Amino acid sequence: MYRAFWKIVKRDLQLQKRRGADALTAVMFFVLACSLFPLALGPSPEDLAWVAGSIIWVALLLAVILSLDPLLRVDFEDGTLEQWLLSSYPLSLLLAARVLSHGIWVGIPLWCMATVVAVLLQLPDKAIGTLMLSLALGIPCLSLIGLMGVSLTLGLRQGGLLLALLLLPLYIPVLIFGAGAVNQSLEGLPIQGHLALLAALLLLAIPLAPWVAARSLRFSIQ
Amino acid sequence: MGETAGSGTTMLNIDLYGPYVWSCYALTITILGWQLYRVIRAQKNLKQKLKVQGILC
Amino acid sequence: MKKILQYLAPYLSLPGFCQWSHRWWPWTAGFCLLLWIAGLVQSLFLSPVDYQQGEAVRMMYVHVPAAIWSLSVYSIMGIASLASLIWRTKLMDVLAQASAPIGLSFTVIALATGSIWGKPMWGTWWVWDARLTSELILLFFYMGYIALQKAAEDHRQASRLSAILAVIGLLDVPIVHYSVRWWNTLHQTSSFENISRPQIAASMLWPLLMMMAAFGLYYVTLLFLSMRTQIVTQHADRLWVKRLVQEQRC
Repeated sequence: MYRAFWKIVKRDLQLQKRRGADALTAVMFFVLACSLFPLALGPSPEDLAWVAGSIIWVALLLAVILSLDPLLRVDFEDGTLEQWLLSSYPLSLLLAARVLSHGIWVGIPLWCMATVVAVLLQLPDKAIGTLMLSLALGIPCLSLIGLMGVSLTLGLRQGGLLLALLLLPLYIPVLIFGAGAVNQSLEGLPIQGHLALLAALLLLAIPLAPWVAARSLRFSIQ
Repeated sequence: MGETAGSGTTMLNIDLYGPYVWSCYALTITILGWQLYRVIRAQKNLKQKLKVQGILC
Repeated sequence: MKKILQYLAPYLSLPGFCQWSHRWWPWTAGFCLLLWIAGLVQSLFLSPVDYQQGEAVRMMYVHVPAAIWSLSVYSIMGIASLASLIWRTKLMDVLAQASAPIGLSFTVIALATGSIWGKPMWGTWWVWDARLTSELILLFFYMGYIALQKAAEDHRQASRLSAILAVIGLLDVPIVHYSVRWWNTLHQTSSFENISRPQIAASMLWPLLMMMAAFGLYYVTLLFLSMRTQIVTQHADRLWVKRLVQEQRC
Protein backbone atom coordinates (compact mmCIF):
# COMPACT_ATOMS: atom_id res chain seq x y z
CA MET A 1 0.00 0.00 0.00
CA TYR A 2 2.77 2.36 0.82
CA ARG A 3 4.43 1.45 -2.41
CA ALA A 4 1.45 3.00 -4.18
CA PHE A 5 1.96 6.11 -2.10
CA TRP A 6 5.58 6.48 -3.11
CA LYS A 7 4.85 5.57 -6.69
CA ILE A 8 2.39 8.41 -6.97
CA VAL A 9 4.83 10.81 -5.38
CA LYS A 10 7.55 9.78 -7.79
CA ARG A 11 5.24 9.93 -10.79
CA ASP A 12 3.99 13.37 -9.86
CA LEU A 13 7.48 14.68 -9.42
CA GLN A 14 8.47 13.34 -12.81
CA LEU A 15 5.42 14.86 -14.44
CA GLN A 16 6.10 18.17 -12.77
CA LYS A 17 9.67 18.12 -13.94
CA ARG A 18 8.50 17.69 -17.50
CA ARG A 19 5.82 20.29 -17.26
CA GLY A 20 8.00 22.53 -15.20
CA ALA A 21 5.89 25.61 -15.35
CA ASP A 22 3.64 25.34 -12.32
CA ALA A 23 6.20 25.84 -9.60
CA LEU A 24 7.93 28.58 -11.52
CA THR A 25 4.70 30.51 -11.99
CA ALA A 26 3.84 30.25 -8.33
CA VAL A 27 7.28 31.41 -7.28
CA MET A 28 7.29 34.28 -9.75
CA PHE A 29 3.89 35.39 -8.55
CA PHE A 30 5.16 35.25 -4.99
CA VAL A 31 8.16 37.43 -5.73
CA LEU A 32 6.02 39.81 -7.76
CA ALA A 33 3.41 40.16 -5.03
CA CYS A 34 6.08 40.78 -2.42
CA SER A 35 7.70 43.41 -4.62
CA LEU A 36 4.47 45.33 -4.89
CA PHE A 37 4.57 46.28 -1.25
CA PRO A 38 7.77 48.32 -1.23
CA LEU A 39 6.43 50.05 -4.31
CA ALA A 40 3.28 50.89 -2.43
CA LEU A 41 4.84 51.65 0.94
CA GLY A 42 7.98 53.50 0.01
CA PRO A 43 11.54 52.28 0.17
CA SER A 44 12.43 53.21 3.73
CA PRO A 45 14.11 50.15 5.26
CA GLU A 46 12.83 50.67 8.78
CA ASP A 47 9.21 50.62 7.66
CA LEU A 48 9.72 47.63 5.44
CA ALA A 49 11.45 45.60 8.09
CA TRP A 50 8.44 45.82 10.38
CA VAL A 51 6.00 44.53 7.80
CA ALA A 52 8.28 42.23 5.83
CA GLY A 53 7.28 39.08 7.67
CA SER A 54 3.59 39.79 7.25
CA ILE A 55 3.99 40.66 3.57
CA ILE A 56 5.81 37.43 2.91
CA TRP A 57 3.18 35.40 4.72
CA VAL A 58 0.25 36.99 2.90
CA ALA A 59 1.92 36.75 -0.50
CA LEU A 60 2.73 33.13 0.26
CA LEU A 61 -0.90 32.41 1.08
CA LEU A 62 -2.00 33.84 -2.24
CA ALA A 63 0.73 32.06 -4.17
CA VAL A 64 -0.21 28.72 -2.61
CA ILE A 65 -3.87 29.22 -3.47
CA LEU A 66 -2.94 29.97 -7.07
CA SER A 67 -0.71 26.94 -7.27
CA LEU A 68 -3.40 24.65 -5.92
CA ASP A 69 -5.74 24.92 -8.82
CA PRO A 70 -4.06 22.33 -11.04
CA LEU A 71 -3.57 20.01 -8.09
CA LEU A 72 -6.36 17.66 -9.02
CA ARG A 73 -7.78 19.24 -12.13
CA VAL A 74 -5.64 17.50 -14.73
CA ASP A 75 -6.30 14.11 -13.23
CA PHE A 76 -9.96 14.92 -12.97
CA GLU A 77 -10.14 15.84 -16.63
CA ASP A 78 -8.42 12.78 -17.96
CA GLY A 79 -10.23 10.34 -15.73
CA THR A 80 -7.39 9.30 -13.48
CA LEU A 81 -9.24 10.49 -10.42
CA GLU A 82 -12.11 8.17 -11.13
CA GLN A 83 -9.62 5.34 -11.32
CA TRP A 84 -8.33 6.40 -7.96
CA LEU A 85 -11.87 6.31 -6.60
CA LEU A 86 -12.40 2.81 -7.88
CA SER A 87 -9.06 1.44 -6.85
CA SER A 88 -8.61 -0.61 -3.75
CA TYR A 89 -6.19 1.83 -2.19
CA PRO A 90 -7.62 4.27 0.32
CA LEU A 91 -8.30 7.49 -1.49
CA SER A 92 -6.98 9.57 1.36
CA LEU A 93 -3.59 7.93 0.99
CA LEU A 94 -3.44 8.70 -2.71
CA LEU A 95 -4.46 12.27 -2.05
CA ALA A 96 -1.83 12.56 0.66
CA ALA A 97 0.74 11.47 -1.90
CA ARG A 98 -0.46 14.22 -4.22
CA VAL A 99 -0.10 16.80 -1.46
CA LEU A 100 3.39 15.59 -0.65
CA SER A 101 4.51 15.94 -4.22
CA HIS A 102 2.93 19.37 -4.39
CA GLY A 103 4.73 20.32 -1.21
CA ILE A 104 8.05 19.16 -2.59
CA TRP A 105 7.64 20.64 -6.03
CA VAL A 106 6.03 23.96 -5.16
CA GLY A 107 6.58 24.33 -1.44
CA ILE A 108 10.32 23.97 -1.34
CA PRO A 109 11.01 26.54 -4.10
CA LEU A 110 8.59 28.93 -2.40
CA TRP A 111 10.36 28.38 0.88
CA CYS A 112 13.75 29.06 -0.62
CA MET A 113 12.48 32.09 -2.45
CA ALA A 114 11.02 33.43 0.76
CA THR A 115 14.50 33.64 2.24
CA VAL A 116 15.69 35.69 -0.69
CA VAL A 117 12.66 37.95 -0.58
CA ALA A 118 13.06 38.38 3.17
CA VAL A 119 16.48 39.84 2.60
CA LEU A 120 15.10 42.08 -0.13
CA LEU A 121 12.41 43.33 2.20
CA GLN A 122 15.02 44.25 4.81
CA LEU A 123 13.94 41.68 7.34
CA PRO A 124 16.56 41.58 10.11
CA ASP A 125 18.61 38.40 10.38
CA LYS A 126 17.21 37.30 13.71
CA ALA A 127 13.75 37.22 12.23
CA ILE A 128 14.72 35.35 9.11
CA GLY A 129 15.36 32.19 11.06
CA THR A 130 11.93 32.41 12.60
CA LEU A 131 10.44 33.08 9.20
CA MET A 132 12.06 29.96 7.80
CA LEU A 133 10.84 27.87 10.68
CA SER A 134 7.31 29.21 10.58
CA LEU A 135 7.12 28.73 6.83
CA ALA A 136 8.47 25.20 7.11
CA LEU A 137 5.58 24.40 9.43
CA GLY A 138 3.09 26.56 7.62
CA ILE A 139 3.52 25.60 3.98
CA PRO A 140 2.57 21.93 4.50
CA CYS A 141 -0.42 23.14 6.51
CA LEU A 142 -1.51 25.39 3.68
CA SER A 143 -1.12 22.60 1.14
CA LEU A 144 -3.18 20.21 3.24
CA ILE A 145 -5.97 22.68 3.89
CA GLY A 146 -5.79 23.59 0.22
CA LEU A 147 -6.33 19.95 -0.69
CA MET A 148 -9.64 20.07 1.16
CA GLY A 149 -10.64 23.21 -0.68
CA VAL A 150 -9.69 21.83 -4.07
CA SER A 151 -11.63 18.63 -3.59
CA LEU A 152 -14.71 20.64 -2.63
CA THR A 153 -14.60 22.93 -5.64
CA LEU A 154 -13.41 20.50 -8.26
CA GLY A 155 -15.36 20.90 -11.43
CA LEU A 156 -17.51 23.74 -10.20
CA ARG A 157 -17.77 26.88 -12.22
CA GLN A 158 -15.79 29.88 -10.96
CA GLY A 159 -13.47 27.30 -9.46
CA GLY A 160 -10.44 29.49 -8.91
CA LEU A 161 -12.18 32.40 -7.22
CA LEU A 162 -14.46 30.13 -5.24
CA LEU A 163 -11.42 28.22 -4.07
CA ALA A 164 -9.79 31.40 -2.82
CA LEU A 165 -13.01 32.48 -1.11
CA LEU A 166 -13.27 29.17 0.71
CA LEU A 167 -9.62 28.76 1.58
CA LEU A 168 -8.69 32.19 2.87
CA PRO A 169 -10.87 32.05 5.99
CA LEU A 170 -9.52 28.58 6.69
CA TYR A 171 -5.98 29.90 6.29
CA ILE A 172 -6.43 32.68 8.80
CA PRO A 173 -5.27 30.77 11.92
CA VAL A 174 -2.13 29.63 10.09
CA LEU A 175 -1.49 33.22 9.06
CA ILE A 176 -2.04 34.54 12.56
CA PHE A 177 0.42 32.12 14.12
CA GLY A 178 2.96 32.21 11.34
CA ALA A 179 3.15 35.96 10.79
CA GLY A 180 2.75 36.43 14.52
CA ALA A 181 5.85 34.37 15.17
CA VAL A 182 7.91 36.47 12.80
CA ASN A 183 6.64 39.72 14.27
CA GLN A 184 7.32 38.46 17.78
CA SER A 185 10.90 37.67 16.91
CA LEU A 186 11.31 41.18 15.52
CA GLU A 187 10.54 42.49 18.97
CA GLY A 188 12.70 39.90 20.65
CA LEU A 189 9.77 38.15 22.29
CA PRO A 190 9.54 34.36 22.60
CA ILE A 191 8.17 32.50 19.63
CA GLN A 192 7.70 29.01 21.02
CA GLY A 193 3.98 29.50 21.56
CA HIS A 194 3.30 30.50 17.98
CA LEU A 195 5.45 27.75 16.53
CA ALA A 196 3.91 25.18 18.83
CA LEU A 197 0.44 26.18 17.72
CA LEU A 198 1.50 26.04 14.10
CA ALA A 199 2.87 22.58 14.68
CA ALA A 200 -0.39 21.62 16.34
CA LEU A 201 -2.36 22.80 13.33
CA LEU A 202 -0.05 20.82 11.06
CA LEU A 203 -0.43 17.69 13.15
CA LEU A 204 -4.18 18.13 13.07
CA ALA A 205 -4.20 18.67 9.32
CA ILE A 206 -2.05 15.69 8.37
CA PRO A 207 -4.59 12.98 9.19
CA LEU A 208 -7.75 15.04 8.80
CA ALA A 209 -7.24 16.87 5.53
CA PRO A 210 -6.73 13.88 3.22
CA TRP A 211 -9.65 12.09 4.84
CA VAL A 212 -12.01 15.05 4.45
CA ALA A 213 -10.74 15.60 0.92
CA ALA A 214 -11.42 11.97 0.05
CA ARG A 215 -15.00 12.25 1.33
CA SER A 216 -15.62 15.47 -0.61
CA LEU A 217 -14.04 14.06 -3.73
CA ARG A 218 -16.55 11.26 -3.78
CA PHE A 219 -19.31 13.85 -3.88
CA SER A 220 -17.56 16.15 -6.31
CA ILE A 221 -16.90 13.57 -8.95
CA GLN A 222 -20.22 11.84 -9.37
CA MET B 1 -14.46 60.64 24.32
CA GLY B 2 -17.30 60.65 21.85
CA GLU B 3 -20.49 62.48 22.33
CA THR B 4 -23.06 61.02 24.65
CA ALA B 5 -26.51 62.06 23.69
CA GLY B 6 -29.15 63.04 26.14
CA SER B 7 -29.20 63.77 29.79
CA GLY B 8 -30.31 60.33 30.79
CA THR B 9 -34.03 60.33 31.28
CA THR B 10 -35.87 57.17 30.52
CA MET B 11 -38.97 58.46 28.85
CA LEU B 12 -39.61 59.51 25.29
CA ASN B 13 -36.47 61.52 24.56
CA ILE B 14 -36.54 60.58 20.93
CA ASP B 15 -34.68 63.58 19.62
CA LEU B 16 -31.78 63.17 21.95
CA TYR B 17 -30.75 59.65 20.98
CA GLY B 18 -28.79 60.97 18.10
CA PRO B 19 -28.25 59.42 14.72
CA TYR B 20 -26.22 56.47 15.89
CA VAL B 21 -28.85 54.63 17.88
CA TRP B 22 -31.55 55.24 15.29
CA SER B 23 -29.39 54.15 12.40
CA CYS B 24 -28.55 50.94 14.24
CA TYR B 25 -32.17 50.09 14.71
CA ALA B 26 -33.12 51.24 11.24
CA LEU B 27 -30.39 49.11 9.73
CA THR B 28 -31.43 46.08 11.72
CA ILE B 29 -35.07 46.41 10.81
CA THR B 30 -34.18 47.00 7.16
CA ILE B 31 -31.99 43.95 6.85
CA LEU B 32 -34.38 41.68 8.73
CA GLY B 33 -37.26 43.07 6.72
CA TRP B 34 -35.37 42.39 3.51
CA GLN B 35 -34.85 38.77 4.50
CA LEU B 36 -38.52 38.45 5.33
CA TYR B 37 -39.39 39.95 1.97
CA ARG B 38 -37.06 37.51 0.23
CA VAL B 39 -38.67 34.52 1.92
CA ILE B 40 -42.21 35.69 1.23
CA ARG B 41 -41.38 36.45 -2.37
CA ALA B 42 -39.91 32.98 -2.83
CA GLN B 43 -43.13 31.53 -1.48
CA LYS B 44 -45.22 33.64 -3.82
CA ASN B 45 -43.12 32.60 -6.80
CA LEU B 46 -43.49 29.00 -5.80
CA LYS B 47 -47.25 29.34 -5.53
CA GLN B 48 -47.33 30.96 -8.94
CA LYS B 49 -45.30 28.14 -10.42
CA LEU B 50 -47.49 25.51 -8.84
CA LYS B 51 -50.62 27.23 -10.09
CA VAL B 52 -49.24 27.22 -13.60
CA GLN B 53 -48.43 23.54 -13.29
CA GLY B 54 -51.95 22.91 -12.19
CA ILE B 55 -51.04 21.46 -8.83
CA LEU B 56 -52.67 24.29 -6.94
CA CYS B 57 -56.25 25.33 -7.47
CA MET C 1 -31.30 7.04 22.85
CA LYS C 2 -32.74 4.83 20.19
CA LYS C 3 -36.18 5.31 21.63
CA ILE C 4 -35.82 9.07 21.35
CA LEU C 5 -34.71 8.78 17.75
CA GLN C 6 -37.57 6.45 16.96
CA TYR C 7 -40.00 8.85 18.54
CA LEU C 8 -38.56 11.77 16.61
CA ALA C 9 -38.17 10.02 13.28
CA PRO C 10 -41.60 10.87 11.80
CA TYR C 11 -41.03 14.55 12.62
CA LEU C 12 -37.63 14.51 11.00
CA SER C 13 -38.83 13.21 7.69
CA LEU C 14 -39.59 15.69 4.96
CA PRO C 15 -43.36 15.16 4.84
CA GLY C 16 -43.52 15.02 8.62
CA PHE C 17 -41.65 18.27 8.90
CA CYS C 18 -44.00 19.94 6.44
CA GLN C 19 -46.96 18.82 8.51
CA TRP C 20 -45.87 20.10 11.87
CA SER C 21 -44.17 23.23 10.60
CA HIS C 22 -47.40 24.18 8.85
CA ARG C 23 -49.13 23.97 12.19
CA TRP C 24 -46.55 25.80 14.22
CA TRP C 25 -45.19 28.58 12.05
CA PRO C 26 -48.08 31.00 12.65
CA TRP C 27 -47.41 30.64 16.36
CA THR C 28 -43.70 31.32 16.09
CA ALA C 29 -44.44 34.23 13.79
CA GLY C 30 -46.98 35.68 16.19
CA PHE C 31 -44.73 35.39 19.22
CA CYS C 32 -41.86 36.75 17.20
CA LEU C 33 -43.84 39.85 16.33
CA LEU C 34 -44.93 40.31 19.94
CA LEU C 35 -41.40 39.95 21.21
CA TRP C 36 -40.07 42.35 18.63
CA ILE C 37 -42.59 45.01 19.52
CA ALA C 38 -42.10 44.51 23.24
CA GLY C 39 -38.36 44.33 22.82
CA LEU C 40 -38.16 47.48 20.73
CA VAL C 41 -40.33 49.40 23.16
CA GLN C 42 -38.24 48.17 26.06
CA SER C 43 -34.88 48.81 24.52
CA LEU C 44 -35.66 52.11 22.89
CA PHE C 45 -37.89 53.73 25.42
CA LEU C 46 -38.12 52.00 28.74
CA SER C 47 -34.67 50.75 29.51
CA PRO C 48 -32.35 52.89 31.57
CA VAL C 49 -29.42 54.88 30.37
CA ASP C 50 -25.94 53.65 31.02
CA TYR C 51 -23.70 55.50 33.44
CA GLN C 52 -20.76 55.63 31.05
CA GLN C 53 -22.24 55.37 27.61
CA GLY C 54 -25.45 57.32 27.87
CA GLU C 55 -28.06 56.60 25.31
CA ALA C 56 -25.59 54.82 23.08
CA VAL C 57 -25.94 51.71 25.17
CA ARG C 58 -29.25 51.08 23.43
CA MET C 59 -27.29 49.80 20.46
CA MET C 60 -26.28 46.86 22.60
CA TYR C 61 -29.82 45.55 22.35
CA VAL C 62 -29.45 44.84 18.65
CA HIS C 63 -25.74 44.26 18.41
CA VAL C 64 -25.37 41.59 21.09
CA PRO C 65 -28.33 39.41 20.04
CA ALA C 66 -27.30 39.64 16.40
CA ALA C 67 -23.74 38.62 17.22
CA ILE C 68 -24.72 35.75 19.48
CA TRP C 69 -27.31 34.46 17.05
CA SER C 70 -24.94 34.71 14.09
CA LEU C 71 -22.59 32.35 15.88
CA SER C 72 -25.41 30.09 17.05
CA VAL C 73 -26.88 29.80 13.58
CA TYR C 74 -23.50 28.81 12.22
CA SER C 75 -23.17 26.16 14.89
CA ILE C 76 -26.65 24.89 14.06
CA MET C 77 -25.66 24.74 10.40
CA GLY C 78 -22.53 22.83 11.26
CA ILE C 79 -24.27 20.33 13.52
CA ALA C 80 -27.10 19.83 11.05
CA SER C 81 -24.58 19.26 8.27
CA LEU C 82 -22.77 16.74 10.44
CA ALA C 83 -26.04 14.96 11.11
CA SER C 84 -26.88 14.97 7.44
CA LEU C 85 -23.51 13.48 6.54
CA ILE C 86 -23.67 10.80 9.22
CA TRP C 87 -27.31 9.80 9.00
CA ARG C 88 -28.11 11.04 5.51
CA THR C 89 -31.24 12.91 6.54
CA LYS C 90 -32.37 15.26 3.84
CA LEU C 91 -34.09 17.48 6.37
CA MET C 92 -30.80 18.39 8.01
CA ASP C 93 -29.44 19.43 4.61
CA VAL C 94 -32.38 21.72 4.02
CA LEU C 95 -32.03 23.10 7.54
CA ALA C 96 -28.41 24.04 6.99
CA GLN C 97 -28.97 25.56 3.58
CA ALA C 98 -31.98 27.60 4.65
CA SER C 99 -30.20 28.86 7.76
CA ALA C 100 -27.28 30.29 5.86
CA PRO C 101 -28.80 33.52 4.49
CA ILE C 102 -30.46 34.27 7.82
CA GLY C 103 -27.20 33.74 9.67
CA LEU C 104 -25.44 35.90 7.11
CA SER C 105 -27.90 38.75 7.75
CA PHE C 106 -27.34 38.44 11.49
CA THR C 107 -23.60 38.63 10.93
CA VAL C 108 -23.96 41.72 8.74
CA ILE C 109 -26.17 43.35 11.35
CA ALA C 110 -23.69 42.50 14.09
CA LEU C 111 -20.81 43.96 12.13
CA ALA C 112 -22.65 47.08 11.03
CA THR C 113 -24.15 47.83 14.43
CA GLY C 114 -20.82 47.06 16.04
CA SER C 115 -19.20 49.57 13.76
CA ILE C 116 -21.88 52.19 14.38
CA TRP C 117 -21.61 51.56 18.11
CA GLY C 118 -17.88 52.00 17.88
CA LYS C 119 -18.05 55.50 16.49
CA PRO C 120 -19.43 57.28 19.54
CA MET C 121 -17.65 54.85 21.86
CA TRP C 122 -14.11 54.79 20.56
CA GLY C 123 -14.24 57.50 17.92
CA THR C 124 -13.54 55.10 15.10
CA TRP C 125 -15.70 53.20 12.65
CA TRP C 126 -13.77 50.00 12.99
CA VAL C 127 -11.40 48.48 15.47
CA TRP C 128 -9.61 45.17 15.16
CA ASP C 129 -10.60 43.81 18.50
CA ALA C 130 -11.07 40.08 19.01
CA ARG C 131 -14.85 40.01 18.82
CA LEU C 132 -15.34 42.18 15.76
CA THR C 133 -12.50 40.46 13.90
CA SER C 134 -13.93 37.03 14.66
CA GLU C 135 -17.30 38.27 13.47
CA LEU C 136 -15.72 39.47 10.23
CA ILE C 137 -14.12 36.08 9.68
CA LEU C 138 -17.47 34.45 10.40
CA LEU C 139 -18.87 36.63 7.62
CA PHE C 140 -16.30 35.14 5.27
CA PHE C 141 -17.25 31.65 6.35
CA TYR C 142 -20.90 32.32 5.62
CA MET C 143 -20.09 33.86 2.25
CA GLY C 144 -17.94 30.90 1.30
CA TYR C 145 -20.71 28.48 2.25
CA ILE C 146 -23.34 30.33 0.23
CA ALA C 147 -20.96 30.71 -2.72
CA LEU C 148 -20.25 26.98 -2.75
CA GLN C 149 -23.94 26.19 -2.53
CA LYS C 150 -24.73 28.42 -5.48
CA ALA C 151 -21.83 27.13 -7.57
CA ALA C 152 -22.96 23.52 -7.60
CA GLU C 153 -25.81 23.04 -10.03
CA ASP C 154 -27.23 19.72 -8.96
CA HIS C 155 -28.94 20.36 -5.65
CA ARG C 156 -27.95 17.05 -4.18
CA GLN C 157 -24.29 17.65 -4.92
CA ALA C 158 -24.65 21.19 -3.61
CA SER C 159 -26.04 19.99 -0.33
CA ARG C 160 -23.35 17.34 0.11
CA LEU C 161 -20.44 19.66 -0.64
CA SER C 162 -21.76 22.51 1.45
CA ALA C 163 -22.40 20.06 4.27
CA ILE C 164 -18.73 19.13 4.29
CA LEU C 165 -17.74 22.77 4.19
CA ALA C 166 -20.05 23.53 7.11
CA VAL C 167 -18.50 20.73 9.16
CA ILE C 168 -15.01 21.99 8.35
CA GLY C 169 -16.21 25.40 9.44
CA LEU C 170 -17.70 23.99 12.63
CA LEU C 171 -14.27 22.73 13.62
CA ASP C 172 -12.48 25.76 12.32
CA VAL C 173 -14.57 28.55 13.82
CA PRO C 174 -13.44 27.80 17.40
CA ILE C 175 -9.84 27.61 16.18
CA VAL C 176 -10.25 30.96 14.46
CA HIS C 177 -11.86 32.50 17.51
CA TYR C 178 -9.11 31.45 19.84
CA SER C 179 -6.34 32.40 17.47
CA VAL C 180 -7.92 35.82 16.93
CA ARG C 181 -8.26 36.28 20.67
CA TRP C 182 -4.60 35.33 21.08
CA TRP C 183 -3.64 37.69 18.25
CA ASN C 184 -5.58 40.47 19.82
CA THR C 185 -4.27 40.17 23.37
CA LEU C 186 -0.73 40.44 22.06
CA HIS C 187 -1.54 43.84 20.64
CA GLN C 188 -3.82 45.10 23.36
CA THR C 189 -3.64 48.80 22.83
CA SER C 190 -6.38 50.31 24.93
CA SER C 191 -9.51 49.62 26.88
CA PHE C 192 -11.49 48.30 23.95
CA GLU C 193 -12.46 45.28 25.93
CA ASN C 194 -14.49 47.45 28.29
CA ILE C 195 -17.35 47.17 25.90
CA SER C 196 -17.46 43.44 25.73
CA ARG C 197 -18.46 42.61 29.29
CA PRO C 198 -20.44 45.42 30.76
CA GLN C 199 -21.99 44.51 34.07
CA ILE C 200 -25.57 44.02 33.13
CA ALA C 201 -28.09 45.50 35.51
CA ALA C 202 -31.35 43.61 35.76
CA SER C 203 -33.20 46.46 34.14
CA MET C 204 -30.96 46.07 31.12
CA LEU C 205 -30.98 42.31 31.16
CA TRP C 206 -34.66 41.94 30.44
CA PRO C 207 -34.72 43.97 27.23
CA LEU C 208 -31.61 42.13 26.15
CA LEU C 209 -33.18 38.75 26.75
CA MET C 210 -36.33 39.85 25.02
CA MET C 211 -34.39 40.92 21.96
CA MET C 212 -32.47 37.66 22.05
CA ALA C 213 -35.72 35.74 22.03
CA ALA C 214 -37.10 38.02 19.31
CA PHE C 215 -34.11 37.36 17.08
CA GLY C 216 -34.34 33.67 17.82
CA LEU C 217 -38.00 33.36 16.93
CA TYR C 218 -37.37 35.43 13.82
CA TYR C 219 -34.75 32.88 12.80
CA VAL C 220 -37.04 29.95 13.53
CA THR C 221 -39.99 31.44 11.67
CA LEU C 222 -38.03 32.38 8.58
CA LEU C 223 -36.28 29.03 8.76
CA PHE C 224 -39.56 27.13 8.71
CA LEU C 225 -40.88 29.16 5.79
CA SER C 226 -37.64 28.87 3.81
CA MET C 227 -37.36 25.17 4.45
CA ARG C 228 -40.91 24.53 3.36
CA THR C 229 -40.37 26.49 0.15
CA GLN C 230 -37.11 24.72 -0.54
CA ILE C 231 -38.55 21.26 0.12
CA VAL C 232 -41.52 21.83 -2.15
CA THR C 233 -39.32 23.32 -4.88
CA GLN C 234 -36.81 20.50 -4.81
CA HIS C 235 -39.31 17.69 -4.62
CA ALA C 236 -42.15 19.15 -6.65
CA ASP C 237 -42.58 16.01 -8.68
CA ARG C 238 -43.28 13.78 -5.74
CA LEU C 239 -46.82 12.68 -5.05
CA TRP C 240 -46.76 13.43 -1.37
CA VAL C 241 -45.67 16.99 -2.11
CA LYS C 242 -48.55 17.51 -4.49
CA ARG C 243 -51.01 16.18 -1.97
CA LEU C 244 -49.52 18.26 0.80
CA VAL C 245 -49.60 21.44 -1.21
CA GLN C 246 -53.23 20.92 -2.07
CA GLU C 247 -54.15 20.26 1.53
CA GLN C 248 -52.30 23.13 3.05
CA ARG C 249 -52.57 26.00 0.70
CA CYS C 250 -55.78 25.74 -1.18
